Amino acid sequence: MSVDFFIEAVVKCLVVFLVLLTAVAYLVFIERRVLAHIQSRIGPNRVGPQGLFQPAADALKLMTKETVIPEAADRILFLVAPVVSLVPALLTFAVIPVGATVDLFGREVALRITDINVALLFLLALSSIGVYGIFLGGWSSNNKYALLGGIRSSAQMISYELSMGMSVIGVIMLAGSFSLVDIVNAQSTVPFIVYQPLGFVLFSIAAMAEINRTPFDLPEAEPELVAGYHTEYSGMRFAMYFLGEYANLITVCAIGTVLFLGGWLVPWPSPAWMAPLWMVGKMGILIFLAIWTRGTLPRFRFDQLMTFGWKVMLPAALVNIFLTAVVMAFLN
Amino acid sequence: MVTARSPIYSALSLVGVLAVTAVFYLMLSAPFLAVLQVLVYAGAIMVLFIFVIMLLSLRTEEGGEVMGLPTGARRVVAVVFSLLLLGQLAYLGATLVLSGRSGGGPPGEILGTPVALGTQLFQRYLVPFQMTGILLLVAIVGAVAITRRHGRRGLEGTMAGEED
Repeated sequence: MSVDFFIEAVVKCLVVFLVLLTAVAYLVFIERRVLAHIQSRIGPNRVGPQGLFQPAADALKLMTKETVIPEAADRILFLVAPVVSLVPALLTFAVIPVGATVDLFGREVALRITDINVALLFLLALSSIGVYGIFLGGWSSNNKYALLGGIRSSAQMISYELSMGMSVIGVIMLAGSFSLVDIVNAQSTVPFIVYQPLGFVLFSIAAMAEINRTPFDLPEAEPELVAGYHTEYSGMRFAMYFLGEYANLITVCAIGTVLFLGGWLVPWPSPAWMAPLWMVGKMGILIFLAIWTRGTLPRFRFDQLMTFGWKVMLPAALVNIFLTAVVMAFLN
Repeated sequence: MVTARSPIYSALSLVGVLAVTAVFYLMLSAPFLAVLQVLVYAGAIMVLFIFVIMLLSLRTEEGGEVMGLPTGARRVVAVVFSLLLLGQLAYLGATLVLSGRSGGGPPGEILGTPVALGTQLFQRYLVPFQMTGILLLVAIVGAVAITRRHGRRGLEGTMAGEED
């Protein structure tokens, strides 16, 4: 544990943190523009060239708004809940690799913060922790709509966590490891989406449900539950929930890229420093798919959502595991 | 020795304990168990626990007489029992450290990694593993059967217009 190692780790964490927050802010802007074009309108284009300073304007607005805390709310939990929602979303990037290794300042720098041998399980565990932020926010607001929204949202999240976890077991079987770097390296010939199409579809659907995005966003739909678990939140606290949601989107797209699209690997030779660019490009495809879905599909009713999660997704995931195991047993 | 009045705070304290347990597993070189602890226990079981507390709106405990003792005497009893517990733990810790053993050895070799745990589950402990699965299935089916029976009878009674 030399000073070099320590400095490297701190710099990597800072870079990831800043890049992620900027990316989340601009993701909100990109989503608004893309959704607008899907809906035959333009979207925000006034603030700065082509509206590119819109996220700055949004950030300023949210930071200067007053934080209103309801009188009968549980103060400590009310203030802590958005943090519990945001931190796991950011923490996942501690294990997601964006490249192999590059030579920087005379050192071999691995383009990831760390890699643990149970990295994929770590990601699933973090999404389980994120559920706490949702229902604690709903409960501590002392508001019927918030409580209902919080409970529904967390019930949905824990149901689809199961399907999400099981849909990636096929990938784990093919790669033989939980480590994300090993999984990417196992896709050096063919990305796993070719071997696991059902797994990819299941993962995409479960991931959208996990992060409460349309068509699974009933818990925060305005006509249904005012605003669900973040009804009583304003200003910076609301911004934290909002950021957490979009950070989660980036996270699951990154996980999907690493698990199914081959991470930073491309079929042609490419220098090591371009690896993050390929990875961001593939993530961009998945993010675009997510935004496209949001602009196209109507939302599920809550009972439809739960039925789908338990009666369709879970059996499908189990079938996927079974088929993968059978095929592997016959071919190996 | 209960320090939180609201049951939600107690449940969240339990989540904290589970997180610390996961850290202990990490220190004993069992990362797989550590992550599973958070994923399953803290992330799913405790969520259901807290759901029940929230949906049943369990009220905060009022102050009052417990075991026929007034509040002041209760505090003293609590402190005495806490000190007893701490003393026992300290004694255990001290004897363990002084004897030089590591308290049973790290579970890393047999339970720490996915490969190790999988080997144990599917080779040495296969029969107990399958029996546990069946046991859990029985519990789930039993719970569903009990709730369905009450629900169905209640619905039929109401809809047929019978007096309850």
